[in-house]
Amino acid sequence: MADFLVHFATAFVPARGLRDGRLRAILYVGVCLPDLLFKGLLYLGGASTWACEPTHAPLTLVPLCYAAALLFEEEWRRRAFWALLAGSCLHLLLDVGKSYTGAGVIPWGFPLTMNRVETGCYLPEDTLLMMAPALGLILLTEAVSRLIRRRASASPRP
Amino acid sequence: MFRNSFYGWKLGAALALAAAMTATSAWRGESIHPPAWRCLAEPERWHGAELRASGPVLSLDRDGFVILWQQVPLRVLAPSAPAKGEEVEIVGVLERDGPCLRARDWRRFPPRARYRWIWEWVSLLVLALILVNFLRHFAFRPEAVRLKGR
Repeated sequence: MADFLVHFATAFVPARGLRDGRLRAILYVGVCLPDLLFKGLLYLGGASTWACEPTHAPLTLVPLCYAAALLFEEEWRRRAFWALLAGSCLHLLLDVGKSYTGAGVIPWGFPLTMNRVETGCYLPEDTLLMMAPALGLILLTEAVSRLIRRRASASPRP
Repeated sequence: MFRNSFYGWKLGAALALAAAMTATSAWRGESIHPPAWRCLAEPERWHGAELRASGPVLSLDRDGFVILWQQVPLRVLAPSAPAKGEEVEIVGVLERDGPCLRARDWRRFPPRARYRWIWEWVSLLVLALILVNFLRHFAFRPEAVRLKGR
């Protein structure tokens, strides 16, 4: 399974800038979408690992997010598409930092090329060490945003 | 692009495009990173293919070691060797003689890899919370996706 806590933390911070809670909810689903599709195809669909790889390719995520956005009602589709795509891109940005001994992790140019890239900043097992800082970041962001909201509501309006 | 006109065509085209990409990846990717049994059954065909293999070290020898990769023993040629029983990950090139894997790079899995179940359970919990939050804001209505009875 994936490291959803860390992925969620990367979406939680920018999502605070969105006023609409519904849009935030879609962004949070988007940040999990590549792994949900990967594991779904792998375990539920019985697909090979290589068949699942495009779920982490930016160009494949465009039609997948578009198809998912079409499931929303008409006035929500455009926002849902961009929120899902932004969340998915955040997911890929975090994943590209993983180290798979130089084998690569993100097929950035698929289907034009099968090459996969990685920056090798952290090992997949480092997720365990990143969980506490991720939780701390979520709590800190929530505390700061609540403080800002409280101050904004307490200040007299002109 | 996001309007209801030609809804079925747009949804079908997006899903068909994604399915075609998945099929393309399965077809082209298998020839790049073939499964263990296929490499060892046809070493001539897969000679020179780059593989990423991982598993426990079964035994050590003068030139390298043997790992259990996808339930298949695979000989690895490497200048340095881990200890027997250690979990390792190797990237290398398959050679028809043996057949064996000439390691380009390898690493030991750190001890914390044993605690993978912790982040798997936490991930499931986080996913459940994300879905609950999503369902707080959105409800599934079939008519919204334009499914209609006959």
